[in-house]
Amino acid sequence: MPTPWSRAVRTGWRNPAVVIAVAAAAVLVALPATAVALFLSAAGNATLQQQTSLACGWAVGAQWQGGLPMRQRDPAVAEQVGRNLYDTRARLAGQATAEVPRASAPVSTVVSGASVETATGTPTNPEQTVVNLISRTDFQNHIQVVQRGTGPGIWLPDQFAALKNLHAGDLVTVRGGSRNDLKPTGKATAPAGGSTSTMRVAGIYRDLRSLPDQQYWCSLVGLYRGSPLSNTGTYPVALVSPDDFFHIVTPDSGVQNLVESSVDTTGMTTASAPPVVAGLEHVRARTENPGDPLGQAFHRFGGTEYTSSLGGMVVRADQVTTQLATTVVPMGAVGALAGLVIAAAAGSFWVDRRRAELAVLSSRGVGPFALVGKAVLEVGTVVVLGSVVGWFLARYLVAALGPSPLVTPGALAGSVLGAAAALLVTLGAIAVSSGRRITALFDARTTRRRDWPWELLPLGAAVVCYFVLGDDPEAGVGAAGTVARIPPRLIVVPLLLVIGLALLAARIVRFSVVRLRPVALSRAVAFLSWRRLASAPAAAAVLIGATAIPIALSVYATTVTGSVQRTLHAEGQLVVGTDVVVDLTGPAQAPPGFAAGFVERYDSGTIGHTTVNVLGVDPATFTNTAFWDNLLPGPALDDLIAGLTAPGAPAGVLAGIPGTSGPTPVEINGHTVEFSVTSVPQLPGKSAGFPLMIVRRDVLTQLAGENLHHELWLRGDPARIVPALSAAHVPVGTLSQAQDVTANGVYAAITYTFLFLTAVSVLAGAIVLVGLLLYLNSRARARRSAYLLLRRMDIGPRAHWRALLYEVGGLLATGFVAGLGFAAIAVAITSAGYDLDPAAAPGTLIAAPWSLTARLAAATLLAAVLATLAAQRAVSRARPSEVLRDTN
Amino acid sequence: MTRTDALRCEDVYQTYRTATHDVVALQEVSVSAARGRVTALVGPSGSGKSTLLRILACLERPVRGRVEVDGVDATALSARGRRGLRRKRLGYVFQNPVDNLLGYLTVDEHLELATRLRGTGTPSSELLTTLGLGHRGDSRPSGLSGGEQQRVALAFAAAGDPAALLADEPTAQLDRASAHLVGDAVRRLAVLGHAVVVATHDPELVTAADDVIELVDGRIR
Repeated sequence: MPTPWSRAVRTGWRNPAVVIAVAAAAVLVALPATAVALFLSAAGNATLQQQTSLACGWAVGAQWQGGLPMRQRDPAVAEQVGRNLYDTRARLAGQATAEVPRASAPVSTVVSGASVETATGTPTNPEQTVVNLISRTDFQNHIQVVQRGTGPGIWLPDQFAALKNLHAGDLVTVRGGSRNDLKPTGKATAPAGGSTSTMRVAGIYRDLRSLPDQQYWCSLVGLYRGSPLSNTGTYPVALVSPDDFFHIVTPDSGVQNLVESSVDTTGMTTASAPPVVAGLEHVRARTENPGDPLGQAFHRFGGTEYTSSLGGMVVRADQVTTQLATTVVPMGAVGALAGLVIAAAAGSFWVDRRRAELAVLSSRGVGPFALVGKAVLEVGTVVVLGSVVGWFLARYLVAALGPSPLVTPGALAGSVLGAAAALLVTLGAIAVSSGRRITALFDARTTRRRDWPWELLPLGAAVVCYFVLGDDPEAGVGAAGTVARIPPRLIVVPLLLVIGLALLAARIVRFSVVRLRPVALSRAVAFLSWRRLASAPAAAAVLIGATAIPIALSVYATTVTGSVQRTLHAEGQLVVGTDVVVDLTGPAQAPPGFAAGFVERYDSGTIGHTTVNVLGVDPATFTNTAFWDNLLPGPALDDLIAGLTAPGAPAGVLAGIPGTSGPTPVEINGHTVEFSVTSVPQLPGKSAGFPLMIVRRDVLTQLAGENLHHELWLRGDPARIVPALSAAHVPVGTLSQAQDVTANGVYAAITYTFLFLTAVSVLAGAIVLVGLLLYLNSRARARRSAYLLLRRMDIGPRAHWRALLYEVGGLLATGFVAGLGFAAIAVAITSAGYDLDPAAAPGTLIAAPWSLTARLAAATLLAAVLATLAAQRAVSRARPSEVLRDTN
Repeated sequence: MTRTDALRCEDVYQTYRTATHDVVALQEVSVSAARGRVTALVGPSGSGKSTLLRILACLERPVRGRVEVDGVDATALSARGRRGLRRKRLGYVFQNPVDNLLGYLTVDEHLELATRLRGTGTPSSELLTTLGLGHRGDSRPSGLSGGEQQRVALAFAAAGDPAALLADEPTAQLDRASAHLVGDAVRRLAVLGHAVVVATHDPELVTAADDVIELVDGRIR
């Protein structure tokens, strides 16, 4: 092999500028190529972790739930019942779950109804004696003890004990039976059929309803807290030992039995979960097998159902990964393609830096293939290094900034393959671009090829994809099962659109910059900047287009993410009314530290034949506590509520019955009153979906009397509000949270998709920066010569830097504005699709990313200033003697 | 074309495109260069000397006209065929001495590279001696003066016995003494049997040439 080739690997490292350009290109290609597999895996694992962390830990593992027979159905058949069956089930469940990886020892629970009354003296609050009687393994280690007695007995919640004026050590009578039998009769005596025990109050514990939910109790939340958005009452929880439980309950008592084992989900991934799921499913199969002792104990006797949600969670995590792949893979490809542009530029840059040598070799008849081979040999090791760095960077970034630091071994292997592919593709891009450049320089054609407007291709593809990737023009963010998904159209169309528009803008700039002659260029600095731009129209056009793409994509991604969340938030808030609404069971004081207001709800009003929920609000405080978004259609809530205090007929604001306005008769609690009604599209607090009318609280109280639900509306973080309610001793009936309305879906795919798009945009921004540096470097020689000449013409360093800043800053600013415009077009075309639940009001609310735009503007300005300062510093150090030797 | 003509072109016409219009570089140019003779291309800057030289060296293809190298019609060849001609039968020397040499090769390695590219076996050490560079075989370009670099470039172009050598203003960046040595080297290479074509403004080199062709505005005067 001739020396220029045999020494190529060594000589390749001798030009730092080329090494940096090629290494940067390799990193920029490898980063998105390797990040895709890592990101998809991290997103799947994050989805799994998110689901397991939000779900009740017991439900994730093995859970047997059903009745516990208390008497034999057929005396001729030997069946275990009651305490015996309870013990057998616990033992068999323990044996079964011992074979499941990561499974905990089972916890057994039995639930029944009971009434608790003071054993001596006059009954206190006889209408409130019914409790949920529960025995649960190890419950004493999971309650907050308020008062502890000295021996065994029954544990009562503090709110119940306060109502009954009971203390630890007091004697109570506990009567077992079904809850229906136990409903208050107005008498203090037990109804027939109940078994009454007298026992001591072993302790008083903090009512579970007044504490944040704990993992240990999570499977019983529905029992003591009730269902959100429901006004059904809940009963206090009285806790006893299994012995006491089975002593209290009667054979006719309905006893629910719950045996559950959680699994340790710490660090669990979609790869490590399947063996656990397999173990849990094996337990299920045994449970459903009547011939298996486990099946006999659970399924045959009492019809206990076995559930385990981990398998479903893994499936949903896989669904998220699959959904994400349809959008993340194209985005990764676009990112890698953008990186390949830099790789191609680096190839061209290599040719420019090796021009003299290549000219010699070419004049000696060395063909482009051999010269490209030399290029590949020279940059090969640099590309390898860049690809390895890109892989490590992707690994680090996904772990540090991605959805989860957890990735599966398969994803790691996939990312290594991606890095290898990126390496080859980068080398290919460098080879092709250097080959084209070599051919253009040393094997030039004399005829010019036709310059077709090929930029229209991506725009045409965007139009085709818009129609092909969604028949329904309103098709947008939707759901596959419970997994929300981003349709590829919301990603592919904007990507193609933005790329096409950027390319078109670049062509327009390239065409016009040499023809335009701005009139106001009397200042030498401005004239110099403009002439520099006009002398390199292709570079200027590429820089504008390259700047516009990441700006447009990041603004678009943030707008979609923000809009989806804003819309979702508004949908939940409009249903509940505000962050937290408490249905009160008694008089209460609002906890301090939150915007709070009392609201009365009458749920049986009628307008004509339509049932209407009527809210009575305090106009002075309601707008501070109720949700409102200024993008919602119609007048602002402030104006509407202010109108309630207008003199004359009582006023009401109505949503849900279009066309009803002006004087309208409304029936409330048998009174028909004519309200002056203002009709609006939306109001907060529509709850069950009935039309909603808001009136003044005093007006409603006067009309509805006692037939009202008293509600406390609070704004703030529910995680802080719930303990504050407890601390303020607010009598909570039910508690509704806006976040619960939309809590059933898995929205990870949406968040992660746009997180990745944002990352790709940032990467593209880095690519632009590298491109900018290459642009400045490629013109460094000419700039050095020009600078020395300009110094002789009395243009100083500051003026020269300003000219550079106008040149580079002007290009970046134009790209920035163009990018914002492209993003606006993309949003305008796709905004209808940002609503997760198109059937729910209020429809898409666009969240304009003002903060991001400001940060991008600052970053663009900073890039222009720093890059031009660096370029100015380089030319300032030029020596006239060296410059005169430059011939290129 | 006579039997000894190594280079010949007939009715060559060449244009260049700028962003806004076409520039005619050569019109109806017909020249020939014989083995053993030095032909000087002269004329003012922009007259088309370098363009003609590049066309004769098969580095460019004319819009119209015919170019023959050692009897082979270069204009009928593909780019690959023209590269073959450059590799086997032509040598080219650029104006700037630095541009003619590879910084990481010694003088001997340059000649070895040239002969390997031409496939003519090991290089002859006599060539360097003939050009007064016999003692510089182990030197790298950075250790040579401008005149020495340009003479090494001529040796590099002549190694492997090509039919013709073409040099674009080889003395333009040299002092008078160095230019004299280069002019002498050019003569010696012609004596070795190469057809040597030199685009130049150097009166000494013009005087030393056997034939002089003057170009004005792309035409032969």
